[in-house]
Amino acid sequence: MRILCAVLVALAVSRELRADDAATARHLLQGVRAFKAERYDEALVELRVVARAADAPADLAYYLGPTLYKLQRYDEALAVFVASRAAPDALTDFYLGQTCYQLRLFRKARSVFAELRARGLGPVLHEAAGRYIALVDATYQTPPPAGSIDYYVSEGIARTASAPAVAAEYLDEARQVESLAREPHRHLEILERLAAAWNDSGRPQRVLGLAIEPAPSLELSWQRARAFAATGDAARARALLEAIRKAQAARAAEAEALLAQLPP
Amino acid sequence: MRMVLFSGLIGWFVATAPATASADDAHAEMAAALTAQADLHPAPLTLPVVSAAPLHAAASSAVKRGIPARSASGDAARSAANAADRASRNAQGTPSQALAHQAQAAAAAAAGQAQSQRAMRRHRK
Repeated sequence: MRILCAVLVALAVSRELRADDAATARHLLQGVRAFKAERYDEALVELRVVARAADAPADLAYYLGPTLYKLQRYDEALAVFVASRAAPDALTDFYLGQTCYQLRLFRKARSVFAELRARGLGPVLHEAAGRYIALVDATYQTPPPAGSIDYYVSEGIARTASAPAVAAEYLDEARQVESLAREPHRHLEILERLAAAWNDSGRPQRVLGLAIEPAPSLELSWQRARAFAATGDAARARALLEAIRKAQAARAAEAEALLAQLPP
Repeated sequence: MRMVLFSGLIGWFVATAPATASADDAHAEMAAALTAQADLHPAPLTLPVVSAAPLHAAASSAVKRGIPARSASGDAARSAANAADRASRNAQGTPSQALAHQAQAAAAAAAGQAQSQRAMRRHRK
């Protein structure tokens, strides 16, 4: 009798949970079916509903990114792919590579496709990834002109306020293209803007990954201090912030404010 | 206590089992669609370049020297740059190479026009 009661209670509780799950799962499936039928607008509506749900799948980028790509909303697709915290997935990454290619982020596209080929793809996608890589390599047989670096910097600046994650991808492209150029061009500016965009888009680890120690400018010191603070390394953040404060130059007030927020 | 645990376990199983199965179905169906609809043949690419910034810079210094800021050759050069940009975008956006070639030809024509206008200007001086 007691067991029967327990089962009834459990079923009553689970019914409530199941109703929400079923609704999200139904929208997801409808989104997938619409994508399959190449009705991408409809797929996007369904997937937006899924995205708003509390029980949205962790790998939403797998569905939403390609849908935005097919709608030629490449900036939004890239933002979805970059923000995803799901485990790497070959098909998601293939669409990320395609998105980068359409946005003319060719270095990024190349590295995505090369990594995919190294990790292993089916034969059809493996060959396709090879075609993307070959086209990028052919273009970069000669050093890129300064105008190309300017293009990526200006595209990055244009997106800094509205989409810092996408801006960071353009500025990172600028950094990579600049490294292939015949001579340095806006090198320090690119690093400063890139570090700021990575910090603004919640990727301080990438700032710390830049080989810029000691930082060649006060702005880079500031960005490194922000990154150290965001990753919990208060000691190194404090050392940099104290130096910026003492210099009494730009960022001194911001350094002061950030110092006040650091744990003792 | 054991009864609570037991009922919780049953509830969790009943609640998650169908949703998991449904998510798996969606994932598998999406995988098939993504593979089928992948762009396997990328369009040829050209490196994008910025031409607007130097033109603006030149304009301000030209104003100081009393030269009209936007000369005919400047406009032609700008339209050449725009055409080149369109060519590059078309080359990527459409699978048709013919369209890309058309756009690139337009860019070349505009660039040629700019060059001839500059030559005429030099000749007049």
